[in-house]
Amino acid sequence: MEVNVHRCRFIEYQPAQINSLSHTETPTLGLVACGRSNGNIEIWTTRNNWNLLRIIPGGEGRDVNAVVWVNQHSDKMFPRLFSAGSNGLLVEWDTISLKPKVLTRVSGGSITCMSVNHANTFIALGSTDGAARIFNITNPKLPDLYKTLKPGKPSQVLSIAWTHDDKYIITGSSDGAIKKWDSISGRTISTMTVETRRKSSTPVTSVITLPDNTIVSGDALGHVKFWDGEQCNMLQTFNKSHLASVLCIASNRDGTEVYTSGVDRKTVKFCKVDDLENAGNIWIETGKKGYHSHDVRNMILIGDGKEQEVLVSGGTDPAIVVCPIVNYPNVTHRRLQHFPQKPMISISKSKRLLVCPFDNGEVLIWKLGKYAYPKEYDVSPQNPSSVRLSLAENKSLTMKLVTKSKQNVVSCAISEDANWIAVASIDSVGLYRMGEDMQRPGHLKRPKKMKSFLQEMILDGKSSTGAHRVLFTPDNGRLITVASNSVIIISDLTMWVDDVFPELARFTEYASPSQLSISSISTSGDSKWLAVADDMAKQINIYSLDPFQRHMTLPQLTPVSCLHTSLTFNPYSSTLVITFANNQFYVYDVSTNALTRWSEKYANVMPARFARIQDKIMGCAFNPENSNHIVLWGSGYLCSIDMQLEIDESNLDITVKKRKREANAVSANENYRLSHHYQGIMFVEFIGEKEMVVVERPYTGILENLGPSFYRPQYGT
Amino acid sequence: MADIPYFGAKEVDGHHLSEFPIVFSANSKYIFLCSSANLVEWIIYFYNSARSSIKIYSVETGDVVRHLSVSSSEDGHTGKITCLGRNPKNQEELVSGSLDGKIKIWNTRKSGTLIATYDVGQPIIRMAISDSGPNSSTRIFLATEVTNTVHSAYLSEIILLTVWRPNKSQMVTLTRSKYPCSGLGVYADGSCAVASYKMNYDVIVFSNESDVIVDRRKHPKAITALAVHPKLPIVALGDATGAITIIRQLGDRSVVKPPSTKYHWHAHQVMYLAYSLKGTYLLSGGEEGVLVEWHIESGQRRFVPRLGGEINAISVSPDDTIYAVSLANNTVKLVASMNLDLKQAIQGLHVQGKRRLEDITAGLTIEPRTSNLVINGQPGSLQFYDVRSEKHVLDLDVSQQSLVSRTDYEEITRFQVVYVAFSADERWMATVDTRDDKEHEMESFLKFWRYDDNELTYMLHSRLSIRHKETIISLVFDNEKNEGSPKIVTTNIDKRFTIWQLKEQSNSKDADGEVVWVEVFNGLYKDYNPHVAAFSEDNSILAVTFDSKVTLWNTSTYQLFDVLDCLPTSDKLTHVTFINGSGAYLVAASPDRISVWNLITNSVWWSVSFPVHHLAADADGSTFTVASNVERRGIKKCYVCIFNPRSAVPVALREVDGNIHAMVYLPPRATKNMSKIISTNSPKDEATDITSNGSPNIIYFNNYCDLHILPTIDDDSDAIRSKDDK
Repeated sequence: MEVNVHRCRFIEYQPAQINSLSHTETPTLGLVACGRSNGNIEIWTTRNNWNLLRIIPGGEGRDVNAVVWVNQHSDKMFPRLFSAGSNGLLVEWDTISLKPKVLTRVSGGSITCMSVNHANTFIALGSTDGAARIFNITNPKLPDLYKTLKPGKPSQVLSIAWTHDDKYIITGSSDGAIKKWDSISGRTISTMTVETRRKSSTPVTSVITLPDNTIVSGDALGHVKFWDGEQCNMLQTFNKSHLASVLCIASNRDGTEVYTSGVDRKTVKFCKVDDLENAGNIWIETGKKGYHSHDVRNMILIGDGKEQEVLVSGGTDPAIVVCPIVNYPNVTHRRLQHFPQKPMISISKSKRLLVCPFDNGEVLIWKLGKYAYPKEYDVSPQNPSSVRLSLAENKSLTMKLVTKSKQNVVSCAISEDANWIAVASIDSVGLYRMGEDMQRPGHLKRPKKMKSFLQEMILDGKSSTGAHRVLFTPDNGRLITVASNSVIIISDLTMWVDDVFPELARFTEYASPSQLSISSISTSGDSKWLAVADDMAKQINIYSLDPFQRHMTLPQLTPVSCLHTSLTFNPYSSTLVITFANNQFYVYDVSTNALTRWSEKYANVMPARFARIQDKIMGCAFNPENSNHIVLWGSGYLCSIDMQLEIDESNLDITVKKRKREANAVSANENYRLSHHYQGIMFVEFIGEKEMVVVERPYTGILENLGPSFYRPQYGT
Repeated sequence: MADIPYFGAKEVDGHHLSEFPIVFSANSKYIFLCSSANLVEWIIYFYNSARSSIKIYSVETGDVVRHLSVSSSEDGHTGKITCLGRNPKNQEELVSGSLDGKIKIWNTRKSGTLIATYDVGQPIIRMAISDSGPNSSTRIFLATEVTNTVHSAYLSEIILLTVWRPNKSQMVTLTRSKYPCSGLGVYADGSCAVASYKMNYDVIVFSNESDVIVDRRKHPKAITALAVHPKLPIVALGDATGAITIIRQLGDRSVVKPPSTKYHWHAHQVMYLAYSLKGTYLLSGGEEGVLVEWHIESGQRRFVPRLGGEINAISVSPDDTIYAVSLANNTVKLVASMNLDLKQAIQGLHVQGKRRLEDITAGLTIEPRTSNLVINGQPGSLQFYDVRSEKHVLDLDVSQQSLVSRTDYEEITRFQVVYVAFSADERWMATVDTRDDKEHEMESFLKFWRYDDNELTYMLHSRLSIRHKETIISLVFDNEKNEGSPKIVTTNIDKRFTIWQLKEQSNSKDADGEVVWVEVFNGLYKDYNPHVAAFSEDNSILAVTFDSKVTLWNTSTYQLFDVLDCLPTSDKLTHVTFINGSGAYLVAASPDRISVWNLITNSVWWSVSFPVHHLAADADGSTFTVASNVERRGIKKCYVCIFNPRSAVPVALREVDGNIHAMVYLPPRATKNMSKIISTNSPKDEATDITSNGSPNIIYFNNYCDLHILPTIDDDSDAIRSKDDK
């Protein structure tokens, strides 16, 4: 297949730095919450080889300094999620509607650190006023302030930890003191201090406790110290392990291994070993590995012995890194995808417009360029795959839309005729009318906000409700909105009078009896069908848009444990491609209410090299030339599949050597042809025959904007 | 030529001293026997040569006090001695292993008697001794090279030699490897031995009396050094990248994965690792020439920088007060462990450390003041060496560049001293040092050095940068013995020769007057290229060779007064010299012909076709010596002929092994009595003065980097043997 690709690298999407990570285990999912400095909290699951489930959107002034899971009822699917930040608010989140459930104002300025006790009943917070506060969170409605631990001298609390018997709280503060507090009486039991350099005190940036009552502290001098938690005297210190501030410490469950990292980007492993001279144990440094390009701000160790234990870390370089710890440091790490798994970009194929939302309510609209048709002699027959076409018309940024709400945009859509733009954030939905400017052909009119559309969205007299997803039907006539309470609302765009948009229908299957989080919606090319799926793949419904009714619920396609990633209607037929986190995909024909024959036969059969890909399938693009030809894509690959070809089951697995060889020379009639030519793919779509758009955001491009990291000149460089 | 007498050569001692680690003696009765009131330690140590021996040096004085295993005919080793150790059962006894496949135990007290010999049968490379064998036996672990053709797939073999009594021993092969053994060590309790090869290491565990379990483990980098903690089951491995890995509890089968820690300071490979006596410190050294003392518990390091050479080995004295560092420049330096101060240095000839002939660029020169031999030392410096007493005298840094180690794989091109000459009045030295890395423009300096009576060394007086087109190809002082204004002649590749003279600065207001070297004359002869020059003994004539001609110049008027044409050869003359003493002769030699002129008759006296590689004239006598290298069927030989200018028949002829690389006459010792006094105190008085008395000797360097002394003909009867006697 030959196709001309718009390789778009102009979307400078910049993920925010990771401030905090938290992990919890539920019976069905291993959950990791990742708080970022733009206020976003990502909820990842370790199931299906790391899958990004949801993103709680942040906004201006809502940076997350600390995030914890409170797993009070282990049978619940989602435990309680708390976050705290510089605005001094302790927030409990509704992880389905992605909105704050309870806001508690904590006096004492910005909250720097947070820790939950091992019984999951109290949360301890450290603030910049130097006090640590304990909140009782047994009441599901409201956290109560239980105790304030105030030191004599004011200083900032930078790190906080509970001892394993929950009796004491350990805090590390900016004046170089590590304090042990009685959590019941609120009194200081003892104070440990770290050394100073040039008479200025050394901030204790991280502190954890181990099951054997050892306290481990890391400070701004890069020293890692082990303290006796009973007597509060120093057992050991490692002054040469880190060259700069230690920002995070993690330990395994038994407390026999400790990992530290920080500004010098190295992760150092310490092991508890038998003291060969005396009885007892000592700590030794056993390995060092660097895989971050910038400061490592937070690190957690996941695994309970059953699964492979992994070290999860994040920092200024915005991707989460997962590193197995068996045989550390001789291991290979994995960097998780650095942008959302749901495509954020929306496109108008006929008008060649690309829309992408950014933080703080900004939406940018680009017009794609046009390529010049290659002359015959330009095409080198040796390597036709990498011909660079010259541009007849360059891409241009046509519009910058700034919404008044300073919330991060969760979803935005552009209608096919480019007359409408819908921008959804977590507490509002804005609809804008745009259209082509008659005075300046080829340019867009300034978008005009449809004011009353907001009124339309107020549901049941509650305060303004935002949306999770917005989507226009391909005939431009209707807007489908997934509200944050999981109700699907369909509004008519053709019959609007005085900014009033009639509501055509409302589907509430996902809102009650129990709310599910809708992750993907898609409409068919003839605007007749709407497919909706939740992220746990519990319910995949097909709705008819004429008349408005539920058409059917898809049968269970995969085992229960498998998560769903994307849902795409074929714009040229009535088939639907549903992809799952284990790289399986199904092609379902809505008109016949059954899987297509090809999918029925080969749904569980796929080449091992495809099944092995760790990047999740983010979407599916359909070739306008051949409706049986689809392109499945993830952040690091494109896979071309012809649904007419058979899959040779005998030759499913090939060796690594062969794979490398075949990466260069792909046989012509092979199905599942993979291309790793593009990296950091955010969006793929065909915009015409033999014309495809690939939006890339390579990781190196993100690092370029980050500024310098810690550097120490080394001998010989 | 039947009756040309042969004469014998002697090897100058002081060869490679620092290839292998040294061993300290335990504090023993030797201390009390010593007359010194101070605490004196003896160090025992050895060098490699075909006839290798063990020398005992005094730590306090740095002098040799005794030799062990001197002659191979008696009890000594026939091969190179590679490893030494103290017998843990009896600290007075010394165990030595050699490439001849034998282990010998010596008594160091009673004038070095041999106690026992064990034949292993394979060349021994490394040794580790443990006294905790079964039934109070001593276990000697040996790393050997495999010579057995049955196991030809293997390169090295670890052999355990268990010794109960001198006549009861047992030998077992423990393990084999395809790679040479890079380190061997045994735990303090003897329960486990560790042998490292290239990318892996064997952990040999003795679970009870007879059971041996060998566990081969992998290491990510090529292991280059190994040390075992003297008390605990801890092993330190050094690798080719310069990292040191410390592995705990190796051989403990209750520990699934022995925890390890990596330390990295060295930029190049770790050459040697050693633990201090109690294991508190780990010492490491490598190509950087820096001794690193690691305090493992805290990660603190102390350094002994600028040791002067790459570190080959490190030893720790039994009382933990001295670290002995063996350097690749043939030096052993003793460093006090308390303050890391240098205590003592034992130096051989630096050039013999690496044995690279290309390092000897300035040839051999005799300093007229002391008759010391002057030879290239470290790159960019000169070493003054007393050949007679075999002692290092002085290191003179000529290039005055700091010694840095390379950053990448590429070797650094350093300055080399290419010419050195001394004035006859013993006050001045001239040197030429160059650096040419074939990439940048060549750097070259002509330097004048004045002897400082207070500092007892040469101080740099003036420095002149030489441009590339003026590159100097020879350097010679005149023979003015009175202090005054010595002259020096340089010949350059720009077809000129330059006469420099020391003059008092005229505009100086000081009465004393600063002296400066002034270019007084530039000479040319047609379009010929000058090569070498020589002054006659009375300084009246300067002879400069121009291609195949010798031009004679009046040194006061700088006028050319004669040209001697060296027919029939048209080769370039490479040597020219006046022969003093017996009349006015001039010897000029091209690579294949010697010609002698009589300057009184102004005619060619004789001329013979003879290959000449080196020519040296006796400064006081009346002879000159010609060395001609030959290589036949890969065997390198050299004929050394001594001529009297009066006759074309050599006075003496000697065939020596190896090609001669540099040669010089060593004048006879001025004060014979001094050597007698020294030699009566020494236990080996014959060995102290190896030159034959009274007559000049020839010193030469052969292509194996060995320094030899050839006594010339004279009354010493057994040095002269007629060819018919053979």
